[in-house]
Amino acid sequence: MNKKREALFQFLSVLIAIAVALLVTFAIILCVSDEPVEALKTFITGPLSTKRRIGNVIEGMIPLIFTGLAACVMFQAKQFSLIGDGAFLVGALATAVLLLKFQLPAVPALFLGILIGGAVGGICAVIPGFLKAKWNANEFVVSMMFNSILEYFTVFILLNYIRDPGSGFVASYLIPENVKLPSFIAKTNVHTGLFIALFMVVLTTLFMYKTKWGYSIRMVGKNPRFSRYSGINTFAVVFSCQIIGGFIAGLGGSVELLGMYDRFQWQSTPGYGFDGMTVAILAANNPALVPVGALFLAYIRVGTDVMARATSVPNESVSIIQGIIMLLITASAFLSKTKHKMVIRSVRDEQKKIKEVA
Amino acid sequence: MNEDLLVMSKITKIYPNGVMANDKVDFSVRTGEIHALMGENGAGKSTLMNILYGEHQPEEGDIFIEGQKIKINSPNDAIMHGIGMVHQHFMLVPSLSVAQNIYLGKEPRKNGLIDTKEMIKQAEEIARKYNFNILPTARVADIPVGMKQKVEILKALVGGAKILILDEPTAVLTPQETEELFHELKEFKKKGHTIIFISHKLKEIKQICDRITIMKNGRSMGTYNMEDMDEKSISRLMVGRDVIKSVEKKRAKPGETVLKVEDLSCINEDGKHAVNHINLKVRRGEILGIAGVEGNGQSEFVECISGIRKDYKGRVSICGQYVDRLSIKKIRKAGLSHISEDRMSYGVAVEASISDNLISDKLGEDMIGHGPILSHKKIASLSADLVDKFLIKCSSYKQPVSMLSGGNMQKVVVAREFAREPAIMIANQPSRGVDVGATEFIHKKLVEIRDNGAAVLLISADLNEVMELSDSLAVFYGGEVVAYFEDSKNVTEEELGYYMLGLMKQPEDIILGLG
Repeated sequence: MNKKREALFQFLSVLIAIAVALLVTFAIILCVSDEPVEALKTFITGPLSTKRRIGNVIEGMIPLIFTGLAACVMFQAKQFSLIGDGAFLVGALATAVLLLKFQLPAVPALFLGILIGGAVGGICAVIPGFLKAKWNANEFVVSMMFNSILEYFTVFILLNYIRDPGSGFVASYLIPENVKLPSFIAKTNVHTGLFIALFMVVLTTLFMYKTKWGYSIRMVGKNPRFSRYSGINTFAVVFSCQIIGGFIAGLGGSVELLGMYDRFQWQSTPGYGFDGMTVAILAANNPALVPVGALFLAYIRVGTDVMARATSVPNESVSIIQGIIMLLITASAFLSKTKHKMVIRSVRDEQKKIKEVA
Repeated sequence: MNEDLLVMSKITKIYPNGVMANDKVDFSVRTGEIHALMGENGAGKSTLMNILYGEHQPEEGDIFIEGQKIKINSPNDAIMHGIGMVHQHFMLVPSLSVAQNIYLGKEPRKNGLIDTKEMIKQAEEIARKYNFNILPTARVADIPVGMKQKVEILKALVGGAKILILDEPTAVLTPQETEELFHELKEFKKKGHTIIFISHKLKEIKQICDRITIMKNGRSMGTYNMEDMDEKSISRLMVGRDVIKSVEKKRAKPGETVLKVEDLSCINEDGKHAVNHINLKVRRGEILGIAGVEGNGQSEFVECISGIRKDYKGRVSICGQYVDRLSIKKIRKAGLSHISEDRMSYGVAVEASISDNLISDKLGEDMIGHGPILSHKKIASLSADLVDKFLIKCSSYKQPVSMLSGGNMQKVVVAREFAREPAIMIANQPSRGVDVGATEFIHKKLVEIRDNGAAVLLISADLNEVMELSDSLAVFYGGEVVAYFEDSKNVTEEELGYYMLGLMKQPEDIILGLG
């Protein structure tokens, strides 16, 4: 089977997975809703109905792009780390602490604020990354447990160091207005973080496909023994790809905070790290396709949101869609018979061609 | 006697990677015959037999036993129909005893519990019935390869096999063990069993088989009576030309020492002294061959010097520079190239493209881009050049390696390892699972690199290969060098067999000539 057919097959299998997920969701809507047609309509067209909602979709994409990229880098090396989730949260926290504790001029503050978010995100990944690289401790389990630690650490810092007692809810002091990422489309919250996100897409794509380090990451993912035998430092690759993932997710946390919030107010993870995994899976771990995956997820997010407000269908239906998509795309046997038929057909085609030539 | 016991008709099998392994193959065997199934590697023999044994499902075709059409969905079905298979790589549980392996899944029971005494008794009985010399209580991990094979055969017989498939049974045996096996196969035949004998060793087939089916490129080239065929006509059908020609090579002119191994010992995962105080040196312009039955320390030895294994004692140097326990990257930089015996785990990343596979050892070098940046232009020209020079059959170097045949995959490995012009080339089983054409090509390349002044260390389980290529020769047995021949022409195959089996050992002073 040639490369084109392979790509086509992959694309189709994602589409079919999405279609199945939507069908199941619709079936559930039919069951729970008194006005299923109305609910469906708002779900599908809702996000496009007003400028504000279109804005919601784009805002929603921004953090998903960051965590999606983070997941891509780690997945390419077959490192299934959840550290993106914790790194996103702690990255935002680090930015808040820096901006609230140090008075800096606006431009350096913005730069430093975002960078420190990334740096701290990267540091979060050090422990699970090292444990995996050195002792082969399962990165999935370690990062998941480590995320809880990070979560409580965040709450601890928020409550004890940056909490504004004057605020009506648990939140930090106000972040200085002049270091925030401004929105650039009127009547929406679409902020300049979008450009940082897209810049990161380009940067990550270049890194993965145009540098020797990116190549090493991809090879370790494809066959770690082969990589080691070839002289690639697999320890460094396994370790570093998780740190890079943490870094990108941490950047995402900072950007989200500076673009969308007045105060730091998360007492638990907003869950973007997990969503990033869905995005990466939709994008087939290709960083260049991450915006597409992020757009899809953000779209159905806003769709269910609109639907939940207009009808009786709860917001959680989006989790069903997400779950089914992940399940179907990651299940390697999904559509394997169809794939085998395609293989057979392509072999037959080739044989025919050879005969014609002869 | 002339009734067809088993008929496979128009079998077609296409693998998920797009390789058409069997193309409308017809195959039949008669009761009580030894039927050879012959063909080059990748001709589709193993696929056809795996289909018969229920491990693969064919896309098309039917299977009949005694005229009845049957469907074989799993090895269990095959065993039920009286088909047994002895795989090339044994399917035994190393930590269990011989008897436990033979009766795995069908242990004799008493009061619902496994009756070990009865099991050992039955194992002894069946071994006696077939004149097999085995020890039912020994742990499979501790017994030699030849005996493991006997355990596999007994396992199949206990399962009620009337038709016994042997997949390259002699590949891992010494000449003496092979003789013994042939004797036993003839006994089976007398007892009415039918044997399908897969091999690509002409001599052996001529010796014991009644009929032969020859396969080439996934097709059957027909079934013939053995007495009507001579070695030449078989090889012509098999490869479409005469068998491997010996590589033309001039006398070696060894220069200074390149690879020097001093007192190397290592303990493997089973806690065995896999390598035991080995001293060895390989000089510029010579091919040192290492012969030996597999599992006598060759793999561990190569793993130590190539840097894959780090927990060993002793020293290794390349061109006078100590490299022991350095990173693989540094060892490679010192001038070592390594063709791994395990192509699929170490040699290639199958999902990656050909060009990705060609550059994996060159990341530190400018030939694929300066500094940290990959130059796709340079990679493209390097890949195109290597594909061209090493005759890798593909539609483009962007093709994933998984779509290549075994021989072409190995050419990718060889191309990568040769491209850096190493000082020492370690070729571990370089022609394993590779067709005749590619084998010839790889042999030629090895001689060429020797003539250009590289040192070559060749490890092979294929006696013909080591004897053909080596300038000097060492024999490994039990992790030690038991024989060393400065000139490989001074030894016969039979003599080597004795050393390989550990029946003979040269005196220390001769072996020391190697180190």
